[in-house]
Amino acid sequence: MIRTRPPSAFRYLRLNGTFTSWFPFVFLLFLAWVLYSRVTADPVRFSPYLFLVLLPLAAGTGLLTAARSGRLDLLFGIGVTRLRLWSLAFVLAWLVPSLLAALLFAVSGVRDTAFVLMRLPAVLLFAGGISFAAGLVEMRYTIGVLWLLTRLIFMMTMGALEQSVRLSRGDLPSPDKLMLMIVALPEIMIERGVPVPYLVAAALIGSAALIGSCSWFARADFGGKRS
Amino acid sequence: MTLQLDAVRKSYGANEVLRGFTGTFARGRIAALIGPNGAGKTTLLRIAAGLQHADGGTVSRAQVLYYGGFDTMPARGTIDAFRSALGLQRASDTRKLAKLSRGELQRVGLAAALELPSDALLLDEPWTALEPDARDELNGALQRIATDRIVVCSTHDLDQVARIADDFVFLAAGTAVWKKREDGGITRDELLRLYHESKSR
Repeated sequence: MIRTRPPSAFRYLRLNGTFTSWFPFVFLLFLAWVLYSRVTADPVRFSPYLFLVLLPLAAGTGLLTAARSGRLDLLFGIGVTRLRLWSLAFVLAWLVPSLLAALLFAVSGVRDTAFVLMRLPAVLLFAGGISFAAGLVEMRYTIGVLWLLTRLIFMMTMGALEQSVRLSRGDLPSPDKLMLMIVALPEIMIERGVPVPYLVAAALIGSAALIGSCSWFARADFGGKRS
Repeated sequence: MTLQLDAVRKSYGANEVLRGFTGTFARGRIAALIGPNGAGKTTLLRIAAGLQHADGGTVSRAQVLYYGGFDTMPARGTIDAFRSALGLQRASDTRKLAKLSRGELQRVGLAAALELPSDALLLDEPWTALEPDARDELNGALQRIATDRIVVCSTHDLDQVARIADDFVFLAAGTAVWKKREDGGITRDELLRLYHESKSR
């Protein structure tokens, strides 16, 4: 006799390609790198920061586009609610990658680990929250790629590099420059020099993006062929 | 058990596709939504299923399952993975969905929609891409299912609905005209005449 399993929104989303399945493998690679660095006592521990750079890519799901085009109709037909689908996407695309990032920092042996872990949520909410909200629609990787390019351009600017080094020494730039740096390189919020109000503001912006994405998905018209 | 729509309105910009649609779809009857392209058939079904929001009016529904056709099927995985994700018994068919023809995909999707539990089954152009034998199979399945479920199909295929439908809803220019099989004279030609009549309103 063939056994049946209960319906699974997770498996149905996977068939529709609406979550990033490669991210856990990337995490394992980074974990191996971190552990290797610890064993070999490598003083350079930038791997968790590099992992943070990839977070916006993992946060894109294309969930709203899939629902609008009718590809999730049968899921709704079996009683899966919009809120449940959004929650599932949130867990898979934001929460799990965020927890993996925190784990990576925790085991990496970076200086002042506890301090870093306290500041990390602001980065995860800001970069992950905005990327998750924007990534609900098609071109889910666009925001992540744009953020990567912004970083590249930022890092290639001599003034920006100099500012980053000065910030790590506690030398604070002007507020507008600092905001620009946070937008381009959210992970600099982990640096001791960045004042807490900036972290709070970034966390609030990211949280608003996450909450807004839930409301957006709940109210959207899933017009099928018309979408 | 019924699916009731009362004064349902929907516009896309200046184009008002539904101007206060009112109607009741009942268990034990197959209803056919007929109308030209853009008449609002899909919109009406999706509003009835709760997938789209109406601009006005009310919908009282039980558990509604809507199937929009082969082009809404997942692009990855196998037939078994698709069925399993929906909680259906595997068909011991490991063919990839991406490799299926449109007709095969339509059959897989329709089979799932018919097997899944629901109070009301709404199908958007279900006969599209099906070969003649499969159309007959579908007609038989719909007639069996309609004994204890509400069934509503949108279609341009007047041959099929002339055979199996009980209620005919002609949608055009935002309004609807109803005809029942009990009224008599249900033939393909008569449905075509009514279709043209509603289209010229």
